[in-house]
Amino acid sequence: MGMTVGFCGCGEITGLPSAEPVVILQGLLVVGEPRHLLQAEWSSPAHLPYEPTPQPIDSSLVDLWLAAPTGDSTRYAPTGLPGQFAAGATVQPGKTYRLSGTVAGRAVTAQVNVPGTLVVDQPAGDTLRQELNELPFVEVPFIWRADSASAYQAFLVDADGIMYMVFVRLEMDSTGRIFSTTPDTSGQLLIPSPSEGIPDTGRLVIYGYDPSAAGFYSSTTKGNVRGAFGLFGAAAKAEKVIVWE
Amino acid sequence: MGVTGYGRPAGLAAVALFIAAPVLRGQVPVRGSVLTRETGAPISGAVVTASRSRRSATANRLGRYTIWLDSLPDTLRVAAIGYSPDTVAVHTAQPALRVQLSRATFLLSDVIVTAPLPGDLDLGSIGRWELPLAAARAVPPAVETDVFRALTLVPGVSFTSPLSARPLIRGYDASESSYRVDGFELIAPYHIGRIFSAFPADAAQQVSVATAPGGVEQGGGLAGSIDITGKTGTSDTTGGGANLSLASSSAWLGGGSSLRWFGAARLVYLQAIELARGVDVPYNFQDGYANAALIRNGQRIGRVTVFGSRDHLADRGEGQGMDWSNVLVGVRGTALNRGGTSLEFSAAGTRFANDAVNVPARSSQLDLHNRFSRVEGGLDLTVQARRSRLALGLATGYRAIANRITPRDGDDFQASDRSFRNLEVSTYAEWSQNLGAGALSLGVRGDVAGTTSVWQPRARIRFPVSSRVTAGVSVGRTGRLFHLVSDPQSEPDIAFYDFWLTAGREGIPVPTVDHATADLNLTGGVISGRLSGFVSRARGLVELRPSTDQDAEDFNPFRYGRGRTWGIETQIALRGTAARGNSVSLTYVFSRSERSWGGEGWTPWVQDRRHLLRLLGQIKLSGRWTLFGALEGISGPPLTPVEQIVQVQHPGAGPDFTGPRVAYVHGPENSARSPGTARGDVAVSYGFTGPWRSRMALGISVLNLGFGPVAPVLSCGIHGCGRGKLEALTASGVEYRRAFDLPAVPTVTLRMEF
Repeated sequence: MGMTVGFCGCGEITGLPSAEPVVILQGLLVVGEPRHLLQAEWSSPAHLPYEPTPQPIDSSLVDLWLAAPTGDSTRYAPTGLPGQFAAGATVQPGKTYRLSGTVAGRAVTAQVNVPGTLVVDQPAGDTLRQELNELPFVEVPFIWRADSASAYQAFLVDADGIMYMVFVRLEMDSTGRIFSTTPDTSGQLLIPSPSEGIPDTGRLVIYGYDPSAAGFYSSTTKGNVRGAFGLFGAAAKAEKVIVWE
Repeated sequence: MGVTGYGRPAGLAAVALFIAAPVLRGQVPVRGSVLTRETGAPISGAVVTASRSRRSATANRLGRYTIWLDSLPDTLRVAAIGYSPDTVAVHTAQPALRVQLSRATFLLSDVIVTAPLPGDLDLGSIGRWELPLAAARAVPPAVETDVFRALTLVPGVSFTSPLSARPLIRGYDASESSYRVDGFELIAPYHIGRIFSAFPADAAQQVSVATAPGGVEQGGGLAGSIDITGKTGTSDTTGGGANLSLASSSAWLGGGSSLRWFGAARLVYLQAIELARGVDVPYNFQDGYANAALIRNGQRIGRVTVFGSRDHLADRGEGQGMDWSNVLVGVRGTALNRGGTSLEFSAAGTRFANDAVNVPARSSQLDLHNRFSRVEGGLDLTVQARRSRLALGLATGYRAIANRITPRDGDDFQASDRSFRNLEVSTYAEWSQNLGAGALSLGVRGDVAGTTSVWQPRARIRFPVSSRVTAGVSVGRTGRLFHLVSDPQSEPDIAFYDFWLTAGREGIPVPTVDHATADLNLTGGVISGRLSGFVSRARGLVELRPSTDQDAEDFNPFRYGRGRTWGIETQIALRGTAARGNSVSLTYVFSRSERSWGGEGWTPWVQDRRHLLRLLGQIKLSGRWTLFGALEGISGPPLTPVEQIVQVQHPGAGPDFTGPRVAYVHGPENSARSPGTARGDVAVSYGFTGPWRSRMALGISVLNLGFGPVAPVLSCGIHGCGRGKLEALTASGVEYRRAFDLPAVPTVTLRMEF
């Protein structure tokens, strides 16, 4: 064995990187929103002790622009929160938008095709009246679709602004999932039931992601930004008010 | 299946005879067959050497040979691995010379060299290894002897871990090789988790590994082919046996005279096997093999092969389980065998079916529905003269593929539903010629389906370097009309999934590999050895995009690219005498295997193993006791390191949101390397006479004696570490751990033959 290990020259992993932190950008254009947020942070190198507190990039190092299909550009301006920037623009469904600029001296580019309008056939109407029961989840059938969206995700936001995952159970499945990447756009939502004392209204927020956003929010975390790692994606959005009865 | 058009090949035979006629004059052709004395089974690959004429010939799949002698009398020496050689004096021309060889004490060292004399027109031994079943039995087994695991005796074959029975040939995935039973194509011949091959060892007579490019008659494999030859029933009497191990039982029986038959079956039942972490489910499988050969005047006219296997894991009806099965029926026979001309026909049908519900794959759960079926009929014509041979072949087949994958949970796989049906035509032509003491063969093979075709020119040459050293060189192209895409590192998951794609359609490339390989064989004496070198360049390879690929701009779950490999294999053996039965074999391989996907730069292939060292030994302790030992050290496979950690912000999420928040950013693909692995195996065998004068053998073995870790290293955390989901991050950063721990595997087997 000793001979073998010496022979292989590899008693330990070889070639592990000792990289410096890199720029991480996370920007999502949301149809219907007046402004679009972008987060700029430093990554945590994998070979160093993990630091759970985000390391925002100083706003003086960020010069990013959102270019509309018309050619108009809007600067991502600091919002005042660490590492957070926003660009005010009306995002048109089905159009292509570009990101360009520099972050910490590095040139950054990306582009995204915005999904079409998210049409929710079920649950119908703007308000969903839902009976409470003893179960931890309430099942609500859904049918929705947005052109060129490749994944959907739903959240429950309660009256205090606290956000919960809504599980999506597709018709073909017998198991729950929180993220659907199949072309099926109908199934059952498993909405968390409110606990006792929680306000009796909430919002059901549904996002239909373009493929790059779908890739970024998937378990493999795919990036589409050149010059940095991260997301410049787009989503169609729909909201329903939930009234618990 | 319909084998038709006999008139056309007969016409070809007439043309070939006319071409060969001038070189027939003044020569004496001797035809015959080489069979085992015990069962009368043909010995494929047996070498017949004429001492005066200084020529040799190699027996084909039916044990037949044709050798041209300068004059009579002459003396033929007939030899094959695992058998005592025999010598036959030939004084007069004979219509058929049948030679029977007796089994000899098997020596591990004998597996190394199969090279016949340079004058043999059969150049198939270049890059080929032959393993009689005795060789497979010499390898310390896990649970029981396995015909694929036994390929550890072949330097060009490696495995991803001791949990795998998928043979990787010279830097290519196991799915890029072809598998055959009695020469008939078989699809995915595996049992649970690809830990066992689907062919019962008790039904095998020998296994051969032919590395690419091989002869033009071989198609369907990019890296090589593995061919299992089944046993034949005992001549003029009925013989059989049984085998018991800790988890399986098998039995075989055979006999007959003019209709020689053989059958074997194996049963395995496990009450619980771990499908996923903490999920134990029942598992059982059955497999069987049978053949029947028609004998006339001591000559084998034809043979029918039947193989089937069935696996049942858990219960799909109850929400989770997998069932798969394999069926093969093939027939091969001789339509004409006159002078130096032979015409063989073959027909076969094979079907693989796989249905799974809610099985784990990477970090997802899948439903699967796979069907792969093929029927084929073909003709092979050989015209042999004294110093030349012409081989022609034509086959036509129909291949149907259905491949449906439905993700239930997780996002490693996209839903897919593919179905293909192809009419395929294959043809080949090869001319072989003696050149002085050497031999040269030139040939071309064509595989055509619709508008897609792969033409594969091949050339082989063998020549003597000295009286004991022979050199062989083979160059050529391999290709095929479909892709079988598997996860190259599936352990420790025991469920398996495959993707089948038709090449040449929908932007899917046609895979071709250009190979060059050279052998230097040292034969005879106490020391034998083999030095091989190989190099290849591949185009149109397809691989499942790895989960570490984080490029969001490419949505295709598959990726297409090129490959390149090269390596040197050395194998040296000290050969004991047949009486003492001691031998030791040392193998060292240095190889590299790289891929370039989507026009990017070259990266190590995920199973690229740079160094491989194997030591195999066999000691006959007494007349009854034999001890086998094996040591293997191998470089670790590459791994894609985690370079950065990021926090994913979901849209609109505040600090109280409890969704997935931490993700890895991986560094360059396969830029790091896992530590090496090492293991030792030992087995002891005790032979004795049992009831009714049966031959009994008790085997005790321990696989993986604990010389070192045997599994590759993976990163732990977000996507789990091996099978389990571990704590994501530690105080020292991202943690890497072995994919699994494998304890020592003890095995006890009891065999009885009568």
